[in-house]
Amino acid sequence: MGQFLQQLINGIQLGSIYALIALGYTMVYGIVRLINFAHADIFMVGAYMGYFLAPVMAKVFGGAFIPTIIAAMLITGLLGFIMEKLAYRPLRYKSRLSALITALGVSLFLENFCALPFVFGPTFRKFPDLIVAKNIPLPGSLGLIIDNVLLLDVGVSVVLMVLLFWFVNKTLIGKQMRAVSFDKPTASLMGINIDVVISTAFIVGPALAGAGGILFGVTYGSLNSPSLGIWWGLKAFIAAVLGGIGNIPGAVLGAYIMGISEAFATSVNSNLGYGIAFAILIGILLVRPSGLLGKFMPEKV
Amino acid sequence: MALLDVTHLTQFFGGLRAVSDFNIQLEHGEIVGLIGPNGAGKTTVFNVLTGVYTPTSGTIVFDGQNIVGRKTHQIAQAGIARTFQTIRLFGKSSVIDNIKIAYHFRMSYSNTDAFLHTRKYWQGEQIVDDYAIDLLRLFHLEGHADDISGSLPYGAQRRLEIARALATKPKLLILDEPAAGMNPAEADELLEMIHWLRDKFDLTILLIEHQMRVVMGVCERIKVMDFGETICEGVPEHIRNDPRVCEAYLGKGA
Amino acid sequence: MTFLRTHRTLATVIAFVLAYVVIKLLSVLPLVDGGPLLNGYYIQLIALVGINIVMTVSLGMVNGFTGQFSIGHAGFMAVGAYTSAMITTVWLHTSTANPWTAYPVFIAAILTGGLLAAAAGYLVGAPSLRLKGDYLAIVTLSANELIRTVIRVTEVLGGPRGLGGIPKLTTLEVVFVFAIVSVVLMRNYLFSSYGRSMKAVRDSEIAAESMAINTTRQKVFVFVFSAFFAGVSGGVFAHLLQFIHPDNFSFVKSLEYLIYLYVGGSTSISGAMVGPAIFTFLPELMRGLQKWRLVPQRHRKEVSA
Repeated sequence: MGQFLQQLINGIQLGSIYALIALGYTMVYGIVRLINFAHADIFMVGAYMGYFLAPVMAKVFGGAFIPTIIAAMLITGLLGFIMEKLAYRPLRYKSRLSALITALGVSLFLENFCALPFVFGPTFRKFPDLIVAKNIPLPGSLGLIIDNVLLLDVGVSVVLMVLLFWFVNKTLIGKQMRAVSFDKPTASLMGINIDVVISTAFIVGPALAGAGGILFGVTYGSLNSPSLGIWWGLKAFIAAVLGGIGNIPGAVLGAYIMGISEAFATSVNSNLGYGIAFAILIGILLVRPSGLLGKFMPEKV
Repeated sequence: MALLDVTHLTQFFGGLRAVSDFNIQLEHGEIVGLIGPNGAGKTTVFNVLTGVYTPTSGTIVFDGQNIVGRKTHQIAQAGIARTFQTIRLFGKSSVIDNIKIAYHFRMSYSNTDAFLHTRKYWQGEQIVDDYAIDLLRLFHLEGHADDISGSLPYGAQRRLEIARALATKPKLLILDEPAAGMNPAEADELLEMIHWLRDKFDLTILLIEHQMRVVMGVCERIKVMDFGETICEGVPEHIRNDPRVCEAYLGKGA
Repeated sequence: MTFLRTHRTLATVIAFVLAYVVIKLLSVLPLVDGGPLLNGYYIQLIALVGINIVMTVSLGMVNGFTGQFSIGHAGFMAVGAYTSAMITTVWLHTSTANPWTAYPVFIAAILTGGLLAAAAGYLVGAPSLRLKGDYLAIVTLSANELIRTVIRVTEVLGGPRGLGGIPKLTTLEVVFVFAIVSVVLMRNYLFSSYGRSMKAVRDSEIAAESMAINTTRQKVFVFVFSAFFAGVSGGVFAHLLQFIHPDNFSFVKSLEYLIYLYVGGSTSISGAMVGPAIFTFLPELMRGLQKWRLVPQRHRKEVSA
């Protein structure tokens, strides 16, 4: 029982980071129907921003965590904006395949560019200690242990998710985003500026991934190489599909399912932990092709 | 027995009733028109007939077989061929390949023959080459045989789409707005062509059309739909004088 | 027309044979000081190009000509590689077995690998090709990683340590024969009624279906034979490197094949052959430049020291 709850807690921690990345995939997909492979690398840039900015922020502001995460979010948001402007906008009315291949290209470019010695470098880097990890044993006979990093991960992602829900549901631009994702041509006929909406999605999604990158750094403490984004991005993407890509609550649900199942599978066999996500995904897609919360859209003839 | 016998056909999309209680009987060799304002449910009827949608209720008997629930390609093999409202050619393939593709299900060689280019393959290709050229000649397209179909002028694309439908050797041909985008002279040519098609290929033809000169000129019977319901049917003269038809198109009091 | 198409196949064969003769000559004739221009390392690289060509052309069948988007081709390669490697390592105890017994076993092994990969392709393709849109991409990607995970947790297959001791049965000649046969077979298929149906599915699935083509069956069949060729390539690959590791067949490897394909041009077979040729060699040619990459750093060190 104690073991079970401990894995559940670990899974929730993992799921929180996945959720922040998955939201970006799902927002972009919902609006431009593009699997943005480069999103994974934005997450990586976010993590590296933490590495480079934390010492500066500590000097300037005294405390490092909050200024670092905000700065990283701003930078990744800007990066997302530029990426859309340079790489995807010229292809907006071309075939979806060209955009998809471009996304692959952008991803590879970011990864290899960042691995250059004068950018981030290809080598291992130790993430600065933004937070000193402290174990907090929970009361009760089960012997459960959580630490302040876990609380931070879950707390930050919940706060950001609540902000996102507010943004999407209550603000004008958020409502416009939902309209565009529902029907782009009609939305533009209603006077919605599609360019602004798309840019917003490409700012907000990457900013969340940037925050995810910082949490990743704080939690795992090491940045192996600029290709670290691939696997995290891949799994967050799978989580978004699992929940129903294009659906924001779906991405969060998918991310927690992924995180929890991965935590349990890892406790059985560390290699299994990695693969379980894909098995679950295939299983769910066979039963519900549009994911758990996604709506199936029939093709128009 | 009627070639096509549709009874009580109803199609819902979620809560929207696109077609309700649609009935039609087509006798062999007839040319029948389906008209009505935009959104009346005509194209939905076509899509149900060709198996793109499965009807919510109703029966469709074609050539003695119930075809409800069959897949589109099975219905096409059974002998219903169609054209599309917006042209859907295989735009990156050559003109002659468009015809050959429609011949595919009658092709005599197997996947293995295709990999190995056996004698059977060459024989099959010879047959389809000859067949396709003959068909293109009938539609005055033989000069374009090796052109990319997407690059043809609009009128030629329309002709090719009909020729392609015929390559499946249908018994029933359904045309979705064949005269769309044509000027009066081209429409007159089309009129002639539809009659000629019916006689030459021994077809029964069902068509949707908005240009009244085409509908009135070619159809022996006309069915008028509005909001998913059949409001009137009969010979062209009868339709022309029916007040309900006028009302559907122009509104009450017109 | 007919005449020209026979020639097209013949031209492919002649091109391959010429390439073989040139490479062979360059690897024996002492053109530069101290030996031939192409040493064993380059020969291995050329063999890899041949394998990558078959991988890319077979991926092009699905992505380029049928208009689907499969991004897990390396998974099928893994199935073929591990299957054939298991067969040959068990049946042929030493790598110096008599060629008269070794090669029949080798051929049987890579074909079995291909068939198993095709079976995996059927399992992946049959349910997902019915759906439209990006689902094939997502499912193939997941299947790729799932296959890799299964290998990682299976002790018999070497698990995360990889599988070694595979007899070196893939020679330059084997690769050439394999590439010629595969490319000709696939090209033949493309220039047939079935190949035309593939392109019809790509151009307009609804229209193809309305023209009496069973589009689902056609898509699944193409996907399955594409997986078969990937599986056989995997077998040839395993017997070239003699050591295979699950990470050789990750999603990243699949992305490499996508890049080869789209760089060369996804809608032509020759394009699908050019892509891998360039991209297998390019990093190697660039490697000459790599020693310069650290120069600024070294320079800095020297200055500070």
